[in-house]
Amino acid sequence: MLAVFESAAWSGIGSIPGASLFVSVYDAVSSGISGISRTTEVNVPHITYSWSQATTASFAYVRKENESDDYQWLSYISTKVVAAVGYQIPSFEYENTDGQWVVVPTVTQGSRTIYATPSGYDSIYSAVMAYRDPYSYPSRATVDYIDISGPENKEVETIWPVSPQFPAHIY
Amino acid sequence: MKRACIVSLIVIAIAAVAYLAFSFNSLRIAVKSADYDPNDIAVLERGFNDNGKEFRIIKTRKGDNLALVYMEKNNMGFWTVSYTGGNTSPGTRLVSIGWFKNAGIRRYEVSENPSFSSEWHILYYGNNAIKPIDITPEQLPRGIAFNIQQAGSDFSIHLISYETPDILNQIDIHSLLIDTNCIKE
Repeated sequence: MLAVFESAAWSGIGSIPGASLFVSVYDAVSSGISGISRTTEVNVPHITYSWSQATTASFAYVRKENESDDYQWLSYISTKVVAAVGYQIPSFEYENTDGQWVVVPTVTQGSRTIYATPSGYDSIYSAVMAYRDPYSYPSRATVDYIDISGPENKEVETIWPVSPQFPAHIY
Repeated sequence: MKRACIVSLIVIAIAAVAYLAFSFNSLRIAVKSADYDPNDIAVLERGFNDNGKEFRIIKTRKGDNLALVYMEKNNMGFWTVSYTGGNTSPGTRLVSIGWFKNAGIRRYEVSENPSFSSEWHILYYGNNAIKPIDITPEQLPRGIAFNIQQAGSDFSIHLISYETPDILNQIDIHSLLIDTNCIKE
């Protein structure tokens, strides 16, 4: 069935599996409308969206055991993002079992939460490895962007979370 | 050279006047270009949405039918029709429209995932009241705020929820108004 929205999040090493969401019109409206199934034909003329997000950044400093904190080095930065996407379907049509198109004029609203946590987030092991071998081990595991698309894969929005290079970038 | 300057100033002045005139009337122009009645407009709600853009919910007409329209001001400062509401049920004279906005992000521990809350709005408008619209909190699910405006047979009912939107989706205002003899179809 037609999507209300789909999400996909990306980090430097590729997509973040847990952030992929697919919300169909059926998922959005089935609690309020009987006689609709996942295979029902629907015509949704217009959906509006809104989102808000919170990014958490982790900065890992590493030093050798016999050194003081003056020698600690920012070796690894990672972020995770939680985003809430709200949607609203002002009205839509669906084809009932008799083959007739039925108008659903009621406003349907809803929201879903996207959890984008890249592999290696807040990892002490990765911080130590990046300290030991900074030229071959990645020093970042950040959420670069989250794509939100609507019906028929039409792009709706791209969320660009903050991707800090050092703590003072957070404000 | 002097003549070129004068012509340039006149052109700029005309452009400025045209921009101001268009900007001042852009709401009516947008309503008319979407085939709604620009002579029957009432602003019911106004504010700024999560994109930082000014919006207005207006009541107008398309032919003989009431309509609620969500208008948004674009980056140029002109109003545009974003979307419209519909009749709550086929054949009724009660129309509705919805919108929402972020209402807060909460987290106490940095290791926790934050929780989000939203303001969910649905506005109903009708022109067939036969007595004062009277809805009590007991007739609505818990956690719903509401605001009723009425002038004679015209009325609006604005519902707001800070909980899940399913609560608003499940309220049948039309049946409630019929059952309490507030409107007549």
